[in-house]
Amino acid sequence: MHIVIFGAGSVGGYVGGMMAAAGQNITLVDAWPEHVAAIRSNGLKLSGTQGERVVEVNALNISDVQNLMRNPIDVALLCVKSYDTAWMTALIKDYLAPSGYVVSMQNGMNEETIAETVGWGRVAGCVLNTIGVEITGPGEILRWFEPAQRGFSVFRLGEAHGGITPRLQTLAEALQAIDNASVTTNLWGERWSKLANNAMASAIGPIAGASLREMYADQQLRRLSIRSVVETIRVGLGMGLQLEKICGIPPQVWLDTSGAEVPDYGPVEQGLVEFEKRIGAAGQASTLHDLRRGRRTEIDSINGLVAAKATQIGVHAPLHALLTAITKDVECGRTPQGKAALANLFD
Amino acid sequence: MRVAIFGSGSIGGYIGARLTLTGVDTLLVDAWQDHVLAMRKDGLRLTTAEGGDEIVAVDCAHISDLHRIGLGSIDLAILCVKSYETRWMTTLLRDYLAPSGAVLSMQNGMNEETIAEVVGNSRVLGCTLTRLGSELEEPGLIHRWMGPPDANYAVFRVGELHGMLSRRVETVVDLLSGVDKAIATRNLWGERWSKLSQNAMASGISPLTHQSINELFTSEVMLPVMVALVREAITVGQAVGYALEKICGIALDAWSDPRGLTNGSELFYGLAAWQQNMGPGGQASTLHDMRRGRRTEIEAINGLISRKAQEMGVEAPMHTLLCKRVRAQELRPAAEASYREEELAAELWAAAQ
Repeated sequence: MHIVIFGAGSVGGYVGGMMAAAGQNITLVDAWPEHVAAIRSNGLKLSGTQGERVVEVNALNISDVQNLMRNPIDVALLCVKSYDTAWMTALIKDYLAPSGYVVSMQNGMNEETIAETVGWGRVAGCVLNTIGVEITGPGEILRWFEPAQRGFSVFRLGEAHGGITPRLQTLAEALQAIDNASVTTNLWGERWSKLANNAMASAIGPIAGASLREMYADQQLRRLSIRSVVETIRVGLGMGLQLEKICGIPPQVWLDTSGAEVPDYGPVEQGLVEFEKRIGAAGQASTLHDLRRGRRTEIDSINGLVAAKATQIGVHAPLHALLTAITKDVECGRTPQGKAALANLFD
Repeated sequence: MRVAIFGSGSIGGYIGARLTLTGVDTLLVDAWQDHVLAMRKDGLRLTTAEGGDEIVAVDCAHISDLHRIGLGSIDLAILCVKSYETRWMTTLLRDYLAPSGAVLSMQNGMNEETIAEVVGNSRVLGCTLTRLGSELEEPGLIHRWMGPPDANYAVFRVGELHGMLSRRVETVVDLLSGVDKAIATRNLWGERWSKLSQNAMASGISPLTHQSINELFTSEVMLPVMVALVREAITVGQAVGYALEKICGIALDAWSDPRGLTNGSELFYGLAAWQQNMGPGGQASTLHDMRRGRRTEIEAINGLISRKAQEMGVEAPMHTLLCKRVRAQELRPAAEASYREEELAAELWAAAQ
C-alpha cells in the first residue's frame, strides 16, 4: 500500500514520518523546497511527547509529483491548507491507482471539493483530535500534544456514506502506529465537532496573540471561546448533525452554559481544565502560526465555514462572522494584534 | 498591467524575459526551485542559435510563494505549463486573477476548454506559437534554437474562443509584438489544430527513436511517415469541422496532393524550405522529457488526435499507435533510443494498412 502525503507540514509530516518509521511505504510531497531538501539530506526529525527520532523517508518536491506515474498512489493523505484543496486534488488525480483514493486530513470540511475532482467514491475523511503538532523548521516537526489515553481516538476515519469499509480499516491499522485510530460511522458529526473545537481557538487566541494555554488561562478569552462553541453547536444541530464530545465535553453541557439569565460556565470550565492538561506550552492554533509568519490563514474554512453554513440554513452565528472578519483585519495589518481587538465581544 | 507567466520553462521563461525587456510588469512563476533560485540570483540568460546572448533581470516566484503576490492582482496569466498540468495550475492561479483578468494558453494541444471549466469561458484566450523553438538547458538558461523564417512571419496568433476580435486580444497582440511578430486570429481552433498537426509529426516518433527534429525532416525513412501523420491529422481536424490553416507553411492542397513527396511537388519543396534555417539543435519536447524521465505531453498531442478521431468515427491508427508506445516508454524512460527508425516506420505503416 503506497501512502502518499500531500502537504508534509506539521500534520502530514508527523503522520507520514511516524508511519514510515513503522515500516509503511510512504512518500511525502511538499511545496516548500527547503523542507524537502532537508528531509532528503538529513532525514525527518520528529520530537516532542512521543520521543525523538530521525526517519528516512521518500520526499518529493511538488514539481516531481509526476514521478508517481511509475509508482501510483493507493492512498493520498491530503494535509494541505483548506484553500489549497482544489488545485492539489487536481494535481493528484492523474497519479491515483485505479482503486486509489484521497483522504482529507485537513481542518474544515473539504470532502466535497475533493469529490468534485475525483468523485465521491474516491474520497474519505479523517478527523484528527488532539494531534497537536508543529513544524519548527525545515525537516523538523514537534508533537506538543500528549498521546491519547485508551479509548480516545486521535484519528477518526470515515466514509462520506457512513459505512465501515475494509479500505479504512486497513488505513486505521496503519495509523495506529502513531496513536489511537478508529473508523467512525459519523464522519460529518465528527467533522463538525472538531470544527467547533478548532473554531474556539483559531480566531480568538490568534487575534489576541495568545497561545492555547494563555487563551484558556484568561477568563475573558476563555469564556468568549466557550460562547463560540455554543454557537457552532447550534449551527451543527440546525444542519441535522449528530455531534460528538468537544474537548471531551458532551454537546449538551456546552449548551447548558447559556440560556439562563447569568451564564453558568462552571461545568465546561472544569472539563477544559482536564483537556488543557494534555496541551504543551508550545501549543498554538495554526492560525497564530500563520499570522506570525505572514502566511494566509485558514480562517475562511474554520470560523468562516460556521458563519457560511449558518447563513445557508438561517441560524444566527454573529460571533463567528465577526471573528472571521477581525482575523482577516489582523492578517492584512488593518487591526493590530491584541486583546483589545476583541473588546466588543466580551460578556 | 500585471502579467504573470505560469510555467517559466523554455517557452514561458523566454517570453517572460522578453516581455520584461520591453518594460512590461511581468512575474515569472515556476515550480522548479533550482530554476527560480538561479533566475533570482543571476537573472535569466537567453541565448540564440544566431549567437545572441543576454541576461535579463526578471521578477520571479516559486509556486509556494504565490501568496505574496496578492489575491486578485494578475491581469493576464500566461499559461505555459505542460498540458497535463493545466487543470491544477489554473485552479491554483484562479485566486490571483483580477476580476477582469484573463488566462492566455500558450501551450501545445488544446487546453482552452479545461481552463474555461475552472475560470469560465469569458476569461480564456488562446495563442498558438510557431517557429518559436526553445529549450531550458539548465536552471536560469534558455536557448532559442528556432526563430521565424523572416520578420513578417507571425509567430504568435492570438484569439478569443468565440472567434471574434476584442480589445483584450489587441492588447495581448501589442504586448507580444515586443517579442516576435504577433497577430490577432479569428480562427483560433483552426490555428490550434494546424499547429497540433505539425507538433504531432515529431512528438510521437522522437521520444522512441531519439532523432532530433532536423534528423527527422532529413530522413528518407521518416519524412513519408510524417506526411502520413499530417494527413491523418488533417482528416480528423476536418471531420471536427475546423477551418485548417497552413501546416509547416504548406497549404492543405499540397498535403493531400497524391504526388506526395515526389521530387518537384509543392510538398517536397515546402518541407525542404521548412527544414532550412531550423537549426540542427532542436528536439521535440517529448524527447527532452523522455531523456530526463519526465512525463511527456503525448496524450495532449498525438493522443488528442487519436481521441478526436474516435469521437468523430474516423481513423487515426498511426497517432493511436504512437501514443500507446510513448506512454509505455514513459514508465521506463530510456537513455538510449528504444526503436531504430526503420523498425518504428515499419510498425506504423503496418498499423495504417
